[in-house]
Amino acid sequence: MLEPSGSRSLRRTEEAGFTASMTSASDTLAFALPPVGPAPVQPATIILVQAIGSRVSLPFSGRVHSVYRQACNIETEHGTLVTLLSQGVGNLPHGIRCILPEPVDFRAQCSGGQTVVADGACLRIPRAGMALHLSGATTWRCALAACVVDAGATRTLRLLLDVRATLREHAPASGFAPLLLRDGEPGSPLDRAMQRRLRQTLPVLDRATWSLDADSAMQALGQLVGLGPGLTPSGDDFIVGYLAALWSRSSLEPAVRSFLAELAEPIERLAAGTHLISRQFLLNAVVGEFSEPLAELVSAMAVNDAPRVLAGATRVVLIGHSSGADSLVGLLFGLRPSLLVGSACADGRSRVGPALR
Amino acid sequence: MSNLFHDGEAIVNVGLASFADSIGRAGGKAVQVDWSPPAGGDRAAGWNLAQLVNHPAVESANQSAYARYLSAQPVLTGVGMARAAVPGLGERMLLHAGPPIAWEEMCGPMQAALIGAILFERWAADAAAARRLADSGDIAFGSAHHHAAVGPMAGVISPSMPVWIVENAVGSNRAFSNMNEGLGKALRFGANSPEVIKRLHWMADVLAPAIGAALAKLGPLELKPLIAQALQMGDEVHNRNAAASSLFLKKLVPAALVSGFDQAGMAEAITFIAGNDHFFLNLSMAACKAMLDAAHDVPDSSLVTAMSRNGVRFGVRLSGTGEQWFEAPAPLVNGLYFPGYGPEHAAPDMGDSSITETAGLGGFAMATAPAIVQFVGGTPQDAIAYTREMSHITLGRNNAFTLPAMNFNGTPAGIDARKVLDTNITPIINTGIAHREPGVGQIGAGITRAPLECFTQAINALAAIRRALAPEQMA
Amino acid sequence: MATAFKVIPKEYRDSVYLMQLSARLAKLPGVEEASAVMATENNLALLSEAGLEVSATGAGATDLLVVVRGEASVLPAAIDEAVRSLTRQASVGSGQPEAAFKPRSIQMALAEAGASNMALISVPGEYAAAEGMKALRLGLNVMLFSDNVPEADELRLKQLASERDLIVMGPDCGTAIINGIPLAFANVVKRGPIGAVGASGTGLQEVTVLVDRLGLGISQAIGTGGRDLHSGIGGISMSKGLRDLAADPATKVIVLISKPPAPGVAERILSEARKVGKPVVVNFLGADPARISGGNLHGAKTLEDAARASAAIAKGDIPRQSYGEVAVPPIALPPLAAGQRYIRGLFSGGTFCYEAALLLDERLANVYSNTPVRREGELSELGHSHHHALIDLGDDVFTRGRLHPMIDYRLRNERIVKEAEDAETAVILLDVVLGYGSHADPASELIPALRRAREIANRQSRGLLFVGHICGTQGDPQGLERQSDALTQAGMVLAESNAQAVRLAASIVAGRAPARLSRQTGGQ
Repeated sequence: MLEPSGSRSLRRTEEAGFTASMTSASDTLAFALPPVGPAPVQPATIILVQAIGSRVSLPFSGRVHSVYRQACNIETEHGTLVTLLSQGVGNLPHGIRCILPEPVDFRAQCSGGQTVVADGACLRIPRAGMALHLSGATTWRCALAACVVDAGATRTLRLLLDVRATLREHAPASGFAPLLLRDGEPGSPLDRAMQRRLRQTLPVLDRATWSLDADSAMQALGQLVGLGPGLTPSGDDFIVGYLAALWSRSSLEPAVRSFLAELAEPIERLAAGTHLISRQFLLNAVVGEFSEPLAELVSAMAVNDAPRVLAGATRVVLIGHSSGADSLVGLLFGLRPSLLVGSACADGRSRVGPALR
Repeated sequence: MSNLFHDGEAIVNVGLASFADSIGRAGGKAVQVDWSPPAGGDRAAGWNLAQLVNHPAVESANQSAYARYLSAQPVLTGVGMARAAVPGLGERMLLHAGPPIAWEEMCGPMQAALIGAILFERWAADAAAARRLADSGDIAFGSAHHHAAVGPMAGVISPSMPVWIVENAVGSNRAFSNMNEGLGKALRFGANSPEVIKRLHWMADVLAPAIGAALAKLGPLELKPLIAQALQMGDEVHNRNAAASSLFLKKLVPAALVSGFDQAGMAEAITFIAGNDHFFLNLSMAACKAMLDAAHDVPDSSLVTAMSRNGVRFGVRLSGTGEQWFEAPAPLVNGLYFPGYGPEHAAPDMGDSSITETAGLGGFAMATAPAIVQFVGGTPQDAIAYTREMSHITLGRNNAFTLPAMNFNGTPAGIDARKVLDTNITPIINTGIAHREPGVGQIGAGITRAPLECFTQAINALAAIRRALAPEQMA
Repeated sequence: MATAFKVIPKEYRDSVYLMQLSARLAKLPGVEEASAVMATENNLALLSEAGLEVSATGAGATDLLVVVRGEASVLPAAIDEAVRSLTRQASVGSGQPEAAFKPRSIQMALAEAGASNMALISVPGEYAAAEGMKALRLGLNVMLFSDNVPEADELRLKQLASERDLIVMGPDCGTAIINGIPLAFANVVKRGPIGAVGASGTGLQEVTVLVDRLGLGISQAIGTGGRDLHSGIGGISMSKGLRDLAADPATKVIVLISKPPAPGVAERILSEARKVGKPVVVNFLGADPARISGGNLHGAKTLEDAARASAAIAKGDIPRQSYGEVAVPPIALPPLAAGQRYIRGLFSGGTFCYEAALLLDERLANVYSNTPVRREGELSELGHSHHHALIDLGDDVFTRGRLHPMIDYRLRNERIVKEAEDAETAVILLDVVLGYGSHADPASELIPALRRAREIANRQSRGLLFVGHICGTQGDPQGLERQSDALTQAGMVLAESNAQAVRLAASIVAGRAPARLSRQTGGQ
């Protein structure tokens, strides 16, 4: 009669649409007096946790690093990042995704500097009156590195063209995507400088990737890391997407796997120079761990499921301001550089010839 | 490095307050615990409690149970005859409120209500014969809670009575409740005069079929949004159901008009509902029962899944201790009496309606219903204070039920028996007061508290199970 | 066209916010372009490539850089606007704070406490173990001030604590100084390189106080409770404290303090201490320091020796084996009558009493105490002194139903008068403990009693000497100087330490009372 686990019944709730009807009880709100503010700090609000990313190692202690509406970053004593995520956000390798009662807004709950203590069963931010119960959560593991994407296959190309179209349509006006995909000279001097930088660097990275030359690749990546707008600069997001592409290729192309192994240490060094948030994503990428939307997109590619690819690409593009788009650019570049830098890569060594573009 | 040496962290000071002062004067930070011996000074229970605080098995069980409670979706699907709808209700069986109790032991109003039910079922011709029948042992009596059912005050359900059928749409459990007869002389207060029996027959023959027809047109009615809305309108859906009853009627009437049911009958039914501000109480109780039963039977969970009174004893059940009741003498109610009555006329607290408090409503949602505290001479601030106080013994807040007076925070819900024992804060319960003599009916309303003793037993039992299961885990 | 910029350190606004900010700044009249980027190396290079001159030296990837280009006159206002909107509290209403509801349990207090790592428990002993258990389960270290906790419960608590890498200080732990905060009965001492673990409260107080007076400081002072080194407990807390101090970068020298530990436990603690990689000074009262010293261990005979040795080590000096001969202040002896031969010690600190018994027993015959060094030294009738009598007034016999003698001086004052009436009393030996928790002004309590005692003696044509020491620092709420001035004026002779006071008392009665011959005398 009873569900064995709370999270399963929850999922059924979503399927049955009751959650929607509950929250959309708009006639309820008609009686609500203004303002409907976010919940203030409550003593020991218990928050249940749905999933814990595989990169989160318990126990740990740390401090709140930065807080956003749907995410709360914690800097652990080991110098790593653990991110609390609200229910609507995709899983992260270093994420702890909360379920009921869904926090309205992390910013209303906690703030930077507060102490965080997590043992196996509970993560507490005492100052914020938050207690996350971890013991019933499942472990979320990113499956991207296990996906098999045939980068050279025509079907993959078709999917990538869809992805590029999505980028053209939805990518924001800042970051790498417009500089690579839209015609014309950007108006701002900063963007012009960035476009020049990309036009110099990406062909180098393209050749280095093609020839699996780690040293040259690192030279190019060094020009990209920390480059561009955003909390996680576009260059960092791009590198993450690029590494996702390499991991998805690594099953079919053993040489790419060794290439990744060669890149690991220098990228870790590179990551050490960025701030904690970017660093964590880069360090995850080095070991083949990525965010759920990116992993989901790649897995759709692996099974050649075009509608899912389209939906997945759209979901990725909408992450952050330009972060998602930038990582998608990186992914595209890592799988088919010619789709982005075909004209710039004048020596014709890209794997896919002009005819297919 | 030892976390003891983390600088600048507060010290929790339990005991001599002067130590906290010294810490403060020396530049440190101390938080003083307003300590009293846990479990009311019962050292054995206090020690058992200490083993269960932050115990991973209990935490995880509570998380699971609480998630089930939160995600439950009680939906009113219809009405039915108790004999057909209520599981395990035998043909010669009567259900009553509270933990199981023998006929001989029952209080006057409870016995009288059961006699009324025997008369209603026509198992006996008059009250004297009905009493003889009950005495003879030929009638089985059962706790409604054991049949997924709840009822206010005496809470009597007999096979031919109509019951609300509430389903948990995300689980597979159902809950049932009888229908509210209105104020004044009513079976639930122990009245069993012919007019009372006559009304019961009318309810079975007209009211229930009429509502059934309207509901069939309306389709399944989600009760959580309706309760949520009523909370915004000053109900706490235990002792105040005015808004909820109106909202229910508002949903019902359009469907009733097109139900094709006999017009005169429907008119009587609608008029009856419209005349009873407590009509929704039984639905609110069934909804709460559905939510809490969903959370019941999670091993190790210290979540309270039922609080109920049979007029003699107050009983508590925990999710993790199965069908077991933890009982203590029912407390008297601190309240306001109708003119001409006083505490000397009051029966001890009775009824299943404290299922609402168990589900985070009623007294727990007092902040939204300041009218209730007037029963005990309180102010709206007191109402808010009650809700706040309850937040210290619950597992969390149910954001499906937000309270305007609490800045739209959810109502504190999911009583953790451990927290009750640790803080000595006992659950508050809004309740009506029945006359100790059968048949007089309600003579007041007020506030009472669940006896700490029930929670002490519950924690002892939970700890005993833990010990038996995993002795090595109990330090 | 000009460029202005501003570095805002450690600012992690989300990308959407940063975009909106740049867009808003760019819309200000006269502003051509605005951007808010993380000040990474590549972005700084990019800005200079773009012709935007930004010399943000020292800025890095964790800092936010706001750059505005446009008419020089409007740029300061634009930068101001950027800073204003960034420093504005994240745009969420915090709601009204809930009225304070006093926490009723440790768990509730934790919700209020913010970061917390310890519970200080002083509830009645019968409930203390349960509170300690809860605190441990909630991940807190525990200081159990409460006494009367059964040894079996103590063991359970300490076992649970060691499973969770926490420490239980206590039960009956009277003092600790953690992260510079004095807890329960503790003194205000400087922070510094010396970390202490003590199974005796006053012992720990004495060492921390003396270290402070020697100009050094205490990193942490950890109490373990008096039973920790019994064989039933096995020194779990001392061992944990030792490990913690070994790992604590602020601690350079470790001091271990205990009354005589169970032999097996002592061996184990010492063997652990040999491995910590830091100098460890050990004062196991009654143990032979010479048998402890060696390697990184330095045995100290008295609490004072322990303090002085650890201070010497912390300063890089070589510690002496004993500091026994350190300055006994020159005093003018009042005329003592022929029969005045004995020392009567009235102590509020049990360890002081025990240390006094140890030191006197080495020199004098007939030393009796309720904390005797040898069985035959047991004072049979606590209410009646004979020979050299050393009485710990903190003994359960005296404190039942009363406050501790560090707080309530009445019992001791009565006893001072009583000893003065005894014609054989030459010296009344006292300890005065300052610090948090102790009496707010001990001198004001003691002085009338001293006067009365002296009057009684004088009336019977006797002199009477009051010798003692103050366990306290200038930083203590009572003020060391104020207390010592008042007591000195009242005729009390104050030594630097308990050991010194005891030696002074011994030297006064030397020659009047028979010496102990069977043992070596202390203080080489």
